[in-house]
Amino acid sequence: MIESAMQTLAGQVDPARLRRDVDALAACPRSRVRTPKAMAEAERHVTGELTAAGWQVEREPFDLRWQPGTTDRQGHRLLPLKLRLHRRLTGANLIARLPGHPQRPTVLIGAHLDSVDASPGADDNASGVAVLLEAARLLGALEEPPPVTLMCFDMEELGLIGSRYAARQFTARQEQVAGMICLESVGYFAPEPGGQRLPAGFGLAFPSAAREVRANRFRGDFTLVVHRRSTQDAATLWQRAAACAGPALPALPSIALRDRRPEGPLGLLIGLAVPPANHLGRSDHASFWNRRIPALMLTGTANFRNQHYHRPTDTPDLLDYDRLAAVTAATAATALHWPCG
Amino acid sequence: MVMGDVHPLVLLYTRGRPTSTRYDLPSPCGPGYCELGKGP
Repeated sequence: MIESAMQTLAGQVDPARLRRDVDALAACPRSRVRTPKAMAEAERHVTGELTAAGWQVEREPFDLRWQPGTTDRQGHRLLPLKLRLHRRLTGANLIARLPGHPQRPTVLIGAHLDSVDASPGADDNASGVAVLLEAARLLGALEEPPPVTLMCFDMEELGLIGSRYAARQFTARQEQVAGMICLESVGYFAPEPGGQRLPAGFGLAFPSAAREVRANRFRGDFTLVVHRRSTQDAATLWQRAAACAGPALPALPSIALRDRRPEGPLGLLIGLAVPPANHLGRSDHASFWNRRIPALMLTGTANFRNQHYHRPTDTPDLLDYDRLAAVTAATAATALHWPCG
Repeated sequence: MVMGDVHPLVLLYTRGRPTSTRYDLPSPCGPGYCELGKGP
């Protein structure tokens, strides 16, 4: 049962280690394009921690040309459009597996390693990478290596470049992926009433989730679980795990949000007609959705809660490490108990 | 998380190819470690 697994994992996860990882990663902005040395340093930290936890780390470099994407700079208010056509992008994803990884469909846990220009990116997304590293320690300590693969994506802030490449590679190699968990800005909470905002039109597009937020007086104390029909069961499982994180950790409220768009490129086109739906695809899980790989995203909703989103003030001291520990334990428990078929 | 006003059409399938085959990273600074773009 996931509840018993959660109890065990919640007793093992260490908020102090999460803080240490966030401190190490969010020392400065990380960008392959703008600050390559900081990005290489972050890569070394991740590789070192994963290796120490018993994982085998591979580096998957890519060299892509003429990629549609986005800018990682705020820009000027007169130039609000963030679209860019990247002439050439050279980067690398990190993939980690445990020795003796069973030949079964794998559960992929992923987080992007880069941040936007001029932001240390503690919440976006050192928090996600820290959860990934702590989950690696928990899973690496198990007697039987679980069928779990970890990935750190490059250039998410430039338009999901690294994960688009990774999803394409998974498809090309015909590797079986049971599902993907995307960790995106999971460390910032605003539990006071009014701390949570909703995008325009959200109440019309997602009335049930909007009602839950309203009933909770717009407290930003929950983790949002964005999923599609293919990951409905996994999302429910994650919510069950998060709800029973206590007494070792704070029980973590969560809200599930189902993206009803179909898998594949048709879902993208429907986003043209329903703009609020596009917010559900603003991280690396969307790359897997587009390849018809089941995926869900865990997020603290980023700019709808965190006023430091993409700013120089997105620093480690603003994160809630006890709740981050609960996210970690629930994620590891869900990966271990991922529902089949 | 990418910025909020991203047009969905930018999230299309990626194109391109790997620059080299994948290779292991036995240690961050040990033999086999590759600087980006320089190969193993």
